[in-house]
Amino acid sequence: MTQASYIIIGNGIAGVTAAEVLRAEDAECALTIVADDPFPVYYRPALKDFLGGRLAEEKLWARPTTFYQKQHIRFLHARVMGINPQQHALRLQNGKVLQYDRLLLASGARPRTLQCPGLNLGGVFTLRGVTDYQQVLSRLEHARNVVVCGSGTLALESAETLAQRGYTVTHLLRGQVLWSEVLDAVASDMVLQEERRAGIEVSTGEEIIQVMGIDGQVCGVRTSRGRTIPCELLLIAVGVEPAIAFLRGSGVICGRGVKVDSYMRSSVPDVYAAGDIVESVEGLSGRTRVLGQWYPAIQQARIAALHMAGALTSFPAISGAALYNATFLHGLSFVGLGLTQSPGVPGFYEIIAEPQPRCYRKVILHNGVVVGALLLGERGQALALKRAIDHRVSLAPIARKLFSGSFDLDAWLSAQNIPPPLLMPERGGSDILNALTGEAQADITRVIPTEVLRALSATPTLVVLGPDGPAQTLPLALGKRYQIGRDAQNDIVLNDTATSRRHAEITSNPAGFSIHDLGSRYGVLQNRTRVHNVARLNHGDRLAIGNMLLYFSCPTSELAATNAGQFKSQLTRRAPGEEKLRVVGLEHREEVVPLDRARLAFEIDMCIGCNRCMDACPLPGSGGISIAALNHANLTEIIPTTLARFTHECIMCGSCVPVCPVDNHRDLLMLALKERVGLSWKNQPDMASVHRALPAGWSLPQLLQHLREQRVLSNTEQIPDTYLLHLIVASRLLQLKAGETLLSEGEYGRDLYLILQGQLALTTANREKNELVLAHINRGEYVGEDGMLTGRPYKISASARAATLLYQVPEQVIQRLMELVPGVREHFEGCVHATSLQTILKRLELFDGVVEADLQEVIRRAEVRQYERSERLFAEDYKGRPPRETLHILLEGFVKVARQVQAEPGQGPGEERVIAYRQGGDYFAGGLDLLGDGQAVTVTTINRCRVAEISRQTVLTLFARYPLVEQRFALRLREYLEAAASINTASRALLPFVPISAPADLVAQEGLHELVSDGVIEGTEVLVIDLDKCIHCNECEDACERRHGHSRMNRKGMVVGNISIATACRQCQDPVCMLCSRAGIARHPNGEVYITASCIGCGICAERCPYGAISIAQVESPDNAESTGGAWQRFNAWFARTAGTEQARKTSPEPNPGGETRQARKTLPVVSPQVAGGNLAASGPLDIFPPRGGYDELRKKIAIKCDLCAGYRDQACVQACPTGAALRVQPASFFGSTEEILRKRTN
Amino acid sequence: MTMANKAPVEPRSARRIWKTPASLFNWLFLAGSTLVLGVVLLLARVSSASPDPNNDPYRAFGITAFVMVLCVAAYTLRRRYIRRLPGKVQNWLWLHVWLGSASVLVACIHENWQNITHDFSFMSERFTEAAFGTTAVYALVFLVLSGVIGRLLDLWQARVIAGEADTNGAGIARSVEEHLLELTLAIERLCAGKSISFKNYCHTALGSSQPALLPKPTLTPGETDDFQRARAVLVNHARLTRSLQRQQRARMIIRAWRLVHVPLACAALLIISYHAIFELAQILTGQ
Repeated sequence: MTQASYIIIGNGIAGVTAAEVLRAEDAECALTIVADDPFPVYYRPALKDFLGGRLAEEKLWARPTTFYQKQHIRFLHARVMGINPQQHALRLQNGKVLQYDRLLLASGARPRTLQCPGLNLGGVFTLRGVTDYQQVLSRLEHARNVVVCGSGTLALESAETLAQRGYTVTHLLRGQVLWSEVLDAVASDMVLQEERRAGIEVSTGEEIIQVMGIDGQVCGVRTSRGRTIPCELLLIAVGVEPAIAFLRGSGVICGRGVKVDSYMRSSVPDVYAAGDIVESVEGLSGRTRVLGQWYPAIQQARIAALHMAGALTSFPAISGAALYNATFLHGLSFVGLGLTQSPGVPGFYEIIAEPQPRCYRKVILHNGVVVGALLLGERGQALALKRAIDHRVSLAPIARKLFSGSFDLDAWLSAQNIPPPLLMPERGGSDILNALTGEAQADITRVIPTEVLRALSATPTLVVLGPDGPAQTLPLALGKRYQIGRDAQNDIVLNDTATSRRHAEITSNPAGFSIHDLGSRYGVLQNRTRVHNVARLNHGDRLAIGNMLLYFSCPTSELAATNAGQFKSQLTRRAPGEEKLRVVGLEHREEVVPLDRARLAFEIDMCIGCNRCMDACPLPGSGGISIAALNHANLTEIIPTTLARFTHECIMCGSCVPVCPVDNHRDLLMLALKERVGLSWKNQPDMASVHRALPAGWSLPQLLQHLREQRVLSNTEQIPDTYLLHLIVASRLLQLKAGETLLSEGEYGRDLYLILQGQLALTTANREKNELVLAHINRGEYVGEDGMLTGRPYKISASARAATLLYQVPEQVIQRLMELVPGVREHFEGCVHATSLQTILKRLELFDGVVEADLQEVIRRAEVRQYERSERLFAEDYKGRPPRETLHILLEGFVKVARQVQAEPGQGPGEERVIAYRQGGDYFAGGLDLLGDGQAVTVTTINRCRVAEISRQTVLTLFARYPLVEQRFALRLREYLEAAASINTASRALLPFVPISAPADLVAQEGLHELVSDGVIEGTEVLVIDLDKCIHCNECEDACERRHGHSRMNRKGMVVGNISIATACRQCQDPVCMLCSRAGIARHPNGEVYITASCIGCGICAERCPYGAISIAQVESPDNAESTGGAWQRFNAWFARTAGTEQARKTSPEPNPGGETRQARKTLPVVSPQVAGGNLAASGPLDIFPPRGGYDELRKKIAIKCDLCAGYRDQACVQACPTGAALRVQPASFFGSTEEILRKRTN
Repeated sequence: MTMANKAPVEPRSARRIWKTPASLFNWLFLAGSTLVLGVVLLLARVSSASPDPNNDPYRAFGITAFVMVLCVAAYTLRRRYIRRLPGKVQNWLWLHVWLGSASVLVACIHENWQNITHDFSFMSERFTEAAFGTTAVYALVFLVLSGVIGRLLDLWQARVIAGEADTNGAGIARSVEEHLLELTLAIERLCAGKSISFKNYCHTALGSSQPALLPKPTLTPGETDDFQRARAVLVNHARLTRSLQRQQRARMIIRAWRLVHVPLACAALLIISYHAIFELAQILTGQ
């Protein structure tokens, strides 16, 4: 076998991608790249970031430095002068002739320029390659005013970048519309508005007619409107033209570029083309254009290379896929798919989303079938739309709800069994028969009416759907043969000219059904694949026979699930109860779904290497990560050590996602790597650290034995020794003397304490403040689980009765263990839920007289669920559904019980009236359908709630045993029904269970409702501003900034009457923000929630805070901070540093997350940027790597939140307010206790 | 972001639902100042000395007034520079207010109300005699008057802003600005792709206080719905703009007052200090 010789002209992304594919397909072939560009392949779209100074030159290279060597690619730096297809040869500028077997033209395009005098002046540049940008950068220091000329994205991005760098930019567009090939007038206007808002002077319909200069340097331009614009730099970005000059006389047919077929073959044998050199034809309009885009170039190169290597035997489906283009247009996220402008001929129409600020979305349909989409400002459903366009799905049935917030197009497409979007060319290609046979094949993705699908039984059935007529349902029997064809003698007759007389046959055996092609003219398509001879049928299969679509349904088939899954989109969200990911640390990203292979490759192809994801990444080491290497690691077997460490450290915060111009999900790419690098706890930890953590005189086996005495850690199969070793390393050893207090009732804490030796007394204080001993716990037991799981204050105190040895295990470590071993979670949650429920049931009068054993039985049968903020427990809309069968008991949190008031006829939907607010310890009569309340209310959570649900059977059993309990329930229910009935008749609702208080001021009650609904009452310390006193001097914010470096509060906020609730941390009772795997946020025993030295500013806490009270700040070095500002600022800063500084408290004992000592500290480990600037980030409890030190550990960002000036004597904001308007209040005492607020719940 | 705001309520006076606690120091400093004033009045009444600033106890009253003025001036130190001084700024303000009010009375008693009531004249030499004693008294009087006006303006602007914040559906100025930006973006979105007359109308209306009164432009077919929406948003924008302007005007007035009060205070303090130090020096040197 002779060695194939491939030559690729061009070293751009198309050429290099083709080289990669060829090498993968043929390891022995001779590969040569000839290019006149001296640079290795680079991320061309990232050049604007290079221009903006955001990207270093070494990060431009799109492949690792060893790429050419490792791929055995011969690189020739030369210019090709011509090709001779007959002799399979090409001629270089130096006279050499190279022979090839197959040739790929990927020489790209050259920039166009203007036709006017003065273009040879210094300071006039056309933008295309690295050299152009290097020259522009070297020129920038001499420029102040820049003119950018062009209507495309390159001009737009250049203008944006330079304006951000502080230059005065004028952007001239020849036409009225920006990027007119893609954007319509609306989208163009929106982008230009953004540009103008950024301070760029934009002028449409104006072009340069002369470039003026002095001393050979540009000094201005004269425009077609007769005005002169002074400038020191002129950037021309007026498009590109394919570099096809060397093809003259070669016989390769060219238009604007090289004309190619679907396999990227040119008009001469063995010559292919890909990338910017290709002239593309738009399917529907027939318009030809040069795309000049990154992702299409890669796809074209793949198709070409696969065909060159002989690996693409049939039609590449991808070539029929919608053109996908994603970027940022002056800060607006953009996706264009397929046709983005309606041709304005009959049959085409647009669906446009309701206008929203900075958001424009439209879909173009052709006879109901979606053919294109333009998404600007919001591109959430982009890939779902691509899926619909790729498979020519009719969206006419859902046109009205397509852009409604609740509609999930992807889920709808999955329900219609539409295949995933076409993202990359498959090796071997796909048998798309309709491409070969024109219209002679049914659209395999035709929508089958939902009512037909719903009506299908569990028995094998065939649904036959013609192009126009209604669907026919034919039951199939096992053991019978069904001949299909146009002749009347067939068992299934298809009246269709494209169907052969005897077309196919369906047979069956006990294992299932199969289909045979009986030698038909146009063949049979099963899903997207042509049936050669025979194929097995699976539930959900779509068969295309001529113009007829046949849908095979057999849900009881053992293969049903797997086959139905073939068409399920990989983008759908994980359903509850599905198998969890193997990756730990994703508690905060429960919705995350890993990328499948096609999506992974697609996103890597889409990546333009702009490095914005790494810039946004909060991990201290992210600055040294190369995007090219990261992408390469995702596609190869080997993950370098640096990347493996980075992968381990990635906390999946998602900071990288919104900054990506091409809508990639770097976090999911990292997830793919995380799945490959595996779980850190499976490996042995550093044994030196383990031995350091041992109690003095203890051996490791002895310690492990003691730990195994803990019931929760006793299972050696579920919890191997390595887990325990990691737990030991991450924990802290405590030695208590007799009488020393470990926990105090009412204080906060989220650590778990495992007793290794000694005894603890658990006590509580009674009303007379006397200490009551509840229990004594010994070695093998633990304490602190309640605070750990609920975040609430301790309900007990614990002190040592004798010298006691404990491990203080951080919450994060137990959370990790709970993720790895579900049994541990069940154990802890079971204990905590049971205790909470028992306490509440004992307190409720309803259950008076129920014996302990029966209560325990109720508790055992109860199911506890957690609801997030604003989730509905149940709603009025559920009417007509099966009755709810549970009694709900609220263990924690607040809920709102409301009812929709009937509106006057013709007045639209009625308003929602709040009947009641409920809090932990209450139960819902509204949940008692079993007692006949008729599902009259909607119950919505106000904050995170834990609810115990007791089944109907359990309640009825209890009623049977305790008639008195039933009577009490019936009485409560009657009161409740009366109250609910009165909602529609009375101006104020009657209260269901609580005596009605004197009529209160309605205005005040409105305010109360706002306070409850906005969660103010959840807080323990709320910063309020009395607007009657506030003189808006901003002293509160200034004082905060003086003390902490950044203001941690904002005066604006919800206004209720004369009170403004400032935007500042409220120190919630159950802070949802405290979910940090690095322990970057913690709670002081007194209740202050503060940012620790481990914080790296990932923003997970900020995202979770519903009140916007946490912000993320870039860490500046103190030098930078001081150098900014004028003399007056420096003067003030001097005062702030010296006389102005308020002293920190010196004596209060503080927790020490560092874990070295328990001595009193001067301040909490609260970090202000000044303190953090230049500091290294402290490691988290789960970190397994030794610190690197130096620049790599420098903190990039930090979370900023109010911690009530923890560590200081007073609160700066309150202290600085000159009128006493700002004050911290406990909502319960200031606004009235929750009970009082709830008593005033009228409308 | 949405096109609509929280529904505004009809303008009315601010709803006072909760009262923030008043400072105890308010009453303490009022009592203290009253006590000082009472003692001064009592001493003046029982004293048989001629009511002359150079005779005791009137001279002592002058010293007292000067000490009080220094205490009053300490407020600005606490607020702006030496923040480690104990106590809330609010308490220092009460000290500033009450001692300042009392100090002017003590100063007037010190000079036996000569220049204020019965011996008033505009002879220039009177202002320079006794080491600018008369000037010092007048400076103090004007300063205290300025303070009183400032305090009243404070109360007034707080009321205006509170009323606006409570009724405009957005809140204080900062929130209103954010809402206005949202509305501007909404209008820009509605203008995108529309005819020139549509765009010009919106552009003009954005700067107008009464957009509803502007004549309707000539619209192309298909723009009517969006025009109605844009008009509604413009009306809302104008309403919020007016609310913002009222809030900003209130703040501007108090800032303007501060611009007067602070230089006046500096000048008055200089004159009073000059007078006090010169006179004290004379006493100490026995001249």
